[in-house]
Amino acid sequence: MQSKDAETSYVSLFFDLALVLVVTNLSNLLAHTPNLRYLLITFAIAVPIWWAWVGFTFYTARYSQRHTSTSVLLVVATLFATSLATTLDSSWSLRLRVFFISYAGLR
Amino acid sequence: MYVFAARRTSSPLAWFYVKGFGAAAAISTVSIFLPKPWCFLAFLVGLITSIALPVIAGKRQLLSNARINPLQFPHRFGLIFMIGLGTALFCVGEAIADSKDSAQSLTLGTLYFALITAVFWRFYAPLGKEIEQEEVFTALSGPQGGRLARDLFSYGQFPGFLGVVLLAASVKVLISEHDPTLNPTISLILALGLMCVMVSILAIDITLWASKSGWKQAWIIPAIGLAVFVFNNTPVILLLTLTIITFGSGAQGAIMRGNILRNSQEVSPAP
Repeated sequence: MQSKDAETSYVSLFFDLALVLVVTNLSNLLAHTPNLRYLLITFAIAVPIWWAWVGFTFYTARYSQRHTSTSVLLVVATLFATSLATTLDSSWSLRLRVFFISYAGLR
Repeated sequence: MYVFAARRTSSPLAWFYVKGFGAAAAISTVSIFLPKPWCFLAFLVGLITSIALPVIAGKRQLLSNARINPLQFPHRFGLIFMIGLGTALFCVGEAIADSKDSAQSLTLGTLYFALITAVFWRFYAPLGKEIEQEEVFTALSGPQGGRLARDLFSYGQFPGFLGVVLLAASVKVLISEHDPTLNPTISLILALGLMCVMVSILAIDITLWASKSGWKQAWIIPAIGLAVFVFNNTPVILLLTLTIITFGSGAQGAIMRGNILRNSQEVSPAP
């Protein structure tokens, strides 16, 4: 079972780093306005973000992560994930379109 | 991505995902061009479609034929959990810095640090053991492995991800509020965060280790709720109680895994 593919590639880790920004901004969003409405909004935003990340994780676990095409697409995905993270602040509803574009790009 | 995989491997699952995720992505793209509230509806339809795809793939027996590398899961999911806990830790430092060193904030910060450490230990102790014990992963590489991985990681670890976000948010508000009592919403966010994290950890223990012993640890979920209900007005005692509960649950899990490993070694002696 132990093979080179069992190890996580650096590009995958680079993609995961974009999640630092997402998690930080998501928690900031809730901390800025801690009420039930924003708790539900946090949940609603966390679902697509999680699902996009899980999609990449399962892909690399199933179909190798050491192909050039996978690496290039992961870098592009990192760009979209970073862009998505920038929409998560207290005025997030104003940046809804950027959120949708970033999510569609990730998918 | 799945187009590359489908061309390379001709896997029926990859072709199924090409069509399914392609359709979901197309619906999500349409949401960009629609006005409110239709954009939300299109976005939701795209999201639900993509979330349902692994379930449909399982029903069509596509998951059982696709090989999966389960050893990547503890690394990737462990890292994402670490990122969440790191954010919570960062929030502790930031909130203490903003609070101008008040005694209340320093105490709460220290207790939050202890709670985050307890959660860290609770999450990584079983994962570390699972990596050492590769046979734990055989369940994930067998015929039902794809379905198990889907349920345990795709869906089962989402509460954990949400939980660390909620924990980080509660840290920030609670420490910087300078209020000796707890805002009910903050205590709800804190309790929900810890409960969500524990649900994901219990899912790993129950599924990969032992269902019977794993379920015995489920007491922690109502215990968190009870602690928040009883100590709602005293954040220091609440955090202390939650930390003790989490460490207690971690010790129980460690004993359970130790017993299972000892029993398995007795049953199958080394060659």
